[in-house]
Amino acid sequence: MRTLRILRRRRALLNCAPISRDHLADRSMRAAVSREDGSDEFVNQQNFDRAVAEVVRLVPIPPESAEWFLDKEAIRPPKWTWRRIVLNPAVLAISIALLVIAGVFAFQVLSRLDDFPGSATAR
Amino acid sequence: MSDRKQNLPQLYRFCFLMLGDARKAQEVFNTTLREAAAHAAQGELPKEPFWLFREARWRCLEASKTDLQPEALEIEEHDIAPQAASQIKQLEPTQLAVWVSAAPDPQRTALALFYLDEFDYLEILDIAELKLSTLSRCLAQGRRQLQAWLDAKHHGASNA
Repeated sequence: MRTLRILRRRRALLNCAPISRDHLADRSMRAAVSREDGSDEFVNQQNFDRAVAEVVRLVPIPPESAEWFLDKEAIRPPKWTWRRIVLNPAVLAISIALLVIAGVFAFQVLSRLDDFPGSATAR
Repeated sequence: MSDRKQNLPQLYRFCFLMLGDARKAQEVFNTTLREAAAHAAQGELPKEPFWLFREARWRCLEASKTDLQPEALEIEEHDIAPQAASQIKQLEPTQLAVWVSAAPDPQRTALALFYLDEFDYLEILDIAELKLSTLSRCLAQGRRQLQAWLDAKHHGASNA
């Protein structure tokens, strides 16, 4: 039963085997491909996929759409500015927490400034 | 955002494969990017990778909803032939796009994303929101159906 499941998964992976070697995503895919590499069926499939991908690469891009390629910045998130960093809720919350901690620490130090060894006895 | 995640020529090709029509592809491509630019200006771009492709996919499906839908027929399937690569090389990109766009979804999305040769299978599963078994079935069936179509085309041409 388990073997059947493994074989089915391996078959599924081979059907999705990448066209370029750069897209061998994970270990299971690499293992499935290396096990089948060289078999007639798999070679046919890879040649078929490569030929289709080659035709897709030939899809012409109209000049009106190509204008967007020059203006990639238009769909990038705006750059971080000091104002945006400071107003970021996480940064703001951490800053307030640090201020409170510093305040408590300063209060503790100031209240113990007048202390000396044996001050409790003297009081 | 890395250049791979917003590879705009590939985004246009994806729209073209999904719709099989240059005018419609251009319309969806431009609308998707105009909306993205508007969101970017407000600092509201989605964080997940490949969201542009996901957006374009939904727009393509929406755009083709009003089109005439192919009848649900049993499509012929053939084993991949050794000479398939040379048959495919004779195809025009538009012919291939028309063939892909006529496939029912999710097969259409799977074929379009896969043959862009831009994503690995995990990324395709993520963009198309599919399971491995479904993607595998769509691709295997797609290859066999495309081979049958190529054979019929080749046979028709040689008879003529």
